[in-house]
Amino acid sequence: MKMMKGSGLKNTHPVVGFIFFLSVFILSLSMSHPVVAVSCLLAAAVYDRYLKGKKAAKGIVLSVVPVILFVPLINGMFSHYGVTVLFVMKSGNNFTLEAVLYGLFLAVKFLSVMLWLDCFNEIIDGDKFVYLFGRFSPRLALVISMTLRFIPMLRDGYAEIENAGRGIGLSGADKNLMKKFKASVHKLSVLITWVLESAIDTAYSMKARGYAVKRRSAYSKYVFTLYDGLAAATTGLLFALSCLAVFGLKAIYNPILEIEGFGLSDVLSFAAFLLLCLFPYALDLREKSLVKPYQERKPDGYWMYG
Amino acid sequence: MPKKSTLPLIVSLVCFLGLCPLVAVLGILFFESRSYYLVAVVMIVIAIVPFFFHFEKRKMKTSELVTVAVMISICVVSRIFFIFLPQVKPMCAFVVVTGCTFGANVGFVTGALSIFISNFAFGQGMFTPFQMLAMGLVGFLSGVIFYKKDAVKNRLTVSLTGAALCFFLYGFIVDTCSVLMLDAVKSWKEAVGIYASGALFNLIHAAATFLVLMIVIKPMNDKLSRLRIKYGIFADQLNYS
Repeated sequence: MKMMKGSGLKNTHPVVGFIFFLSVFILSLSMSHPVVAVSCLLAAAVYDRYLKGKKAAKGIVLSVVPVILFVPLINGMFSHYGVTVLFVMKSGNNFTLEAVLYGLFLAVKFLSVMLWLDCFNEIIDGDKFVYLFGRFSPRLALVISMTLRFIPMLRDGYAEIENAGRGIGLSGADKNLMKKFKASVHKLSVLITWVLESAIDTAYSMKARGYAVKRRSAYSKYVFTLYDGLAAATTGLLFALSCLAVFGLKAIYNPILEIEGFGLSDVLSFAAFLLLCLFPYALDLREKSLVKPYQERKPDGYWMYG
Repeated sequence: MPKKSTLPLIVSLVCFLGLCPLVAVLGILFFESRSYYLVAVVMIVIAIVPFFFHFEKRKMKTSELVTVAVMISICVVSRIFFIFLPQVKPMCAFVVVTGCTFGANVGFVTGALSIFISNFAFGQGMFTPFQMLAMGLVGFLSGVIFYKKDAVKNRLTVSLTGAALCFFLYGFIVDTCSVLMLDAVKSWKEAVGIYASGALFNLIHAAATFLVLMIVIKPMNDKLSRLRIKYGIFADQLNYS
């Protein structure tokens, strides 16, 4: 049995994951200091690579490099603030260092949000989202989970209709493109009618089982334990501390580059920010220590193979 | 008819006239225009709340609720099916159809949720809230324009309106997201440049919406009205086909 990467955060209560991602989103969107920005981007990229494995590394690099290259260039070409003129463009406008650096900062900020979102998609799936927000809006949660059920139903239904069509000679494997198109439109039309009708059946069945008679209760496979509470509290605390670093450390790119130095309190809050970024790994370590005894135990019945 | 609750109205008034301007002012005061994007997202979330609140509180039969879920899943599948063709997505057309036949509120919910759910396949991104608001408004406005109106029978009018909504409303809001993300609000030239570069993609999207609506609007109306007659859902809505 191999442990899944990121299962530490996946297996804690969805609230913990949600707090973690909300914090990193808010922090990455409101940072202005280059050191914070670069470390945020690195943390996001490393975690994304960690979650998705070696294969994803190429994709991450391919999405990062063009943005890093082009956004500063475009910003330099369109914005002309700043005092350090690198050269004068043909249009007579200045190409300044400040504009390029600001473009670089924007690219880093944009990329870190993008990569954190990528991680978010790995950890929080539709199921967890419905669980988290279902209690605020039961009807909406019901519609979302029914939709998630209908999507594979539509796919299977289409396959069935296609099969049946092949049986009666409406294969759609015609060489005439127009005929092919018409055949698939016809199949889709059949599919939509069918799904709408079966939806009514579903509704009657729901009614027969007492939907809307009382408040709907929800099955949930998540239990909020003390461990989850501690994890959530730690995340919240680290977020509050790193807010000090992210909002306190200011940098100005226009018209002159001004970057604040680190004071002692800044170093501490910045350390909290780094700890927040490392938090998911800590959960993974704990998960590993739980799983390890079972991995080392010899499988049941191994004596039979002597 | 049961008496309408005034609660949704109060919620929308509080959100639109109270909270949204408040967030804007706070954003200007505290962020010193550092992150327009973050402020915009918070405002969008607040703006979406009243629509969903109304949906939550309105009287609806179970069968109507399930039909809405089916319409959303059709929208989602129509987007995922064309994942390999950028911008050519029939989703907008189906959202317009839903708005036309089920009304403005259901149109909004269908549009916003279709984007949200299909983004679990496409990947939730920085665009998601903007797309949700934009697609929701497309559904909402097509409901306002065509719901219970005779004009819904005219294929060309519906298709042209759908394409226009897709181009101007959806395109504008989603391009605004790029403008905010690239922080181009400071110079007009840059912002206009981004809107202009997005125009071509929006045009393709609008053209696809127009074509799909031309094909789809008549049969979809037939199917849904058949459903209405056979099962008596959305029964307060009459007068077409």
